Amino acid sequence: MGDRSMSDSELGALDAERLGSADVRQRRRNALTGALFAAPALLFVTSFLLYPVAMNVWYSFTAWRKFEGLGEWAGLANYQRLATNPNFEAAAINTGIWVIASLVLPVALALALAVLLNGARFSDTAKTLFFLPRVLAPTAAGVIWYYVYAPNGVLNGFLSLFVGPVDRGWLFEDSTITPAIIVAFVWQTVGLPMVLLLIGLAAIPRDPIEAAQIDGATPGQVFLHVTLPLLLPTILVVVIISVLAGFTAFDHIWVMAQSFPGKRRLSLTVLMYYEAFTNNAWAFASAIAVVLGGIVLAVTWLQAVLQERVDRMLK
Amino acid sequence: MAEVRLVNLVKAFGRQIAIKGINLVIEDKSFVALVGPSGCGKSTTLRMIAGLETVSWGDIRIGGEVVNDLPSRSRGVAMVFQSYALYPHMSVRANLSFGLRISGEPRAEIDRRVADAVEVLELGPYLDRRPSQLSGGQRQRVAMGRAMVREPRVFLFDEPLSNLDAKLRHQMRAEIKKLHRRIQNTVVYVTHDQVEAMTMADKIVIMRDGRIEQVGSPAEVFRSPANIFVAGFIGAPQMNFFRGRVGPGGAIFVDRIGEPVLAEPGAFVLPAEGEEVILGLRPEHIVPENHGMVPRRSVCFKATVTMSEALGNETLLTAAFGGVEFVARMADPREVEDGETIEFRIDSDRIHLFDPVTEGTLRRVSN
Repeated sequence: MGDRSMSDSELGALDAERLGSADVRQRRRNALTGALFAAPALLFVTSFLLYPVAMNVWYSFTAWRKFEGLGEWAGLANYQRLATNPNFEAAAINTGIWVIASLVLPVALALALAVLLNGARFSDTAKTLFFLPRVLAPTAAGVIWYYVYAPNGVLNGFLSLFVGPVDRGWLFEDSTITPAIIVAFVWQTVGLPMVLLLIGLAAIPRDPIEAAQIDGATPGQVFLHVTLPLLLPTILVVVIISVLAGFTAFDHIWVMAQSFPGKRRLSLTVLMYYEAFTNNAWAFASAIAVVLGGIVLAVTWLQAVLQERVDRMLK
Repeated sequence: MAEVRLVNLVKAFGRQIAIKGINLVIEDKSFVALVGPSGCGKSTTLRMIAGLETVSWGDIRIGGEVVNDLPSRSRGVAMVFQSYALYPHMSVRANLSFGLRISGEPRAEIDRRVADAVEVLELGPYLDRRPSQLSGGQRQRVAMGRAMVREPRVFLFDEPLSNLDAKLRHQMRAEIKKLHRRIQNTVVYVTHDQVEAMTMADKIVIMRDGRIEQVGSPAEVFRSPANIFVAGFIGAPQMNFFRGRVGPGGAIFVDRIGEPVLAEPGAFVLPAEGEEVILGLRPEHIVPENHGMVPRRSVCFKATVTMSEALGNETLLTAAFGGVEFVARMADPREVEDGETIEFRIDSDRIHLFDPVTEGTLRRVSN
């Protein structure tokens, strides 16, 4: 043959099917390997997540109450009840407040802390301090704050120093209970977003920031035009974590509102728990869970869309 | 007028002193290359001029003004980074105009300057792309454009070509040189590649371990290296060094080379007879017999080839005699077998002599 390449006509004469068959075999092998690796996780997710979710949706269409009605089809009755139940409306509004608060407060606070602490002196100590509440059980944090907000508690004592005697029951008034619990919630949860944002900040390459400095940007402009856009993927993750935590907030409310008569109106999660375990309305509680789950799913989907957009922007 | 003047400049990182009191004048409109091995302080020096590192001691003056405490943005400098440092979330157009936009330049002025840079650097087709959609060479041009539009007094380059492949590097070298000719501002260019420094700069500053070893034109530092370090650093393949001894009448005796090398009379300040010197010879000045010009005055010796690297137009021969290895350049090459013994000629008029203790050159300073 000699040291030469095949001519075009020789190449054209080759069997096209055989040329492709190596690739096909390779792809098949890869698919099989992939399936084997994914199998344990798939099995786990199916039995402990997908199956229970499906069952929950099914229960929401039955008349299940404690030991009866599990097989009894109720159609949309539970959902119709949601629309007319005054507790549901109040709980949904409060959950909305929770979501907005958890979208804004922990993210803004964590970002501010992260930027302040990034590379600062004693930042390790400060980071540990801000993260510390996170390691408490939420119920324990709730108990601590319960006493902070008590009529004879720390907060009123502190306020008394400035404005004379205060004996406000922060956790007993409709107007203050949700904000009060949100403050405790943010106090406990801000550590994680802060740490995530610090990691995000540390991962931003130094060069574009220095380039912006030389390009004439003031520190504020560098942050606004370079740091913040490059931090966007992390911010998005933090926002999602916070918002989902806001949707599913339960422990803090449950513990801190223990003596509040309108407790079940404070969030959808509390209402769901109350309907299921106090009121024995299992099917109705399932319907609440379906609605809550649906909203969370929608938010997660929105996050995926945004994430993709941000990734494309930074790619 | 944008002369850059470094006066007793010191940079300390904690207890570690990175820049050890350097003094340097970079004339207005000149192209100065800072070269040296990694860790020699060249990038730190550049970053201090840029305002990205504080000055521990001494002064940096740009256009006569001490800028030590001025932030980068007020120094009138622009910098091209090794990593290009483009803003990944902005289009090429936005990258180019960023500096002008944030400083509030009028729209028409921004457009004019960006258009100029785009034309010079041929970036027209890429204006709406993001950096990730560009090749290395294109990114490098955007980085240069971004520096250009600011019309800086001083252009700083930090190893701008080291991430490019050989062909592109060659091309960009020419472009940067052309750019300098066109816009005529002061350029400080950091590189570890002596070829870049030699081909582009008016003046080369060779640094080692936080100190300046030599400053001079490319020809000066090549022809008259101030010490063994510079001699070894400038020129590729690097200069060969042999131990020799001074004999009567300026003759240099090297072990196992039968005849002494006779230094050009009066060119060197030689130590007393019997003292040791280091003889430096560039590969092109050790001529294999019958390959290349026969030197006017030369000394012959034989050595055994241990390796040959054929480059096409020439072959680099690594050869040894008496345990000493050296590299010679074979012009108009023929096939050479490893182990072949070849006769070489040392060009006596092109030798370098150094003091083995101080490592400084023994060449007489001509006035």
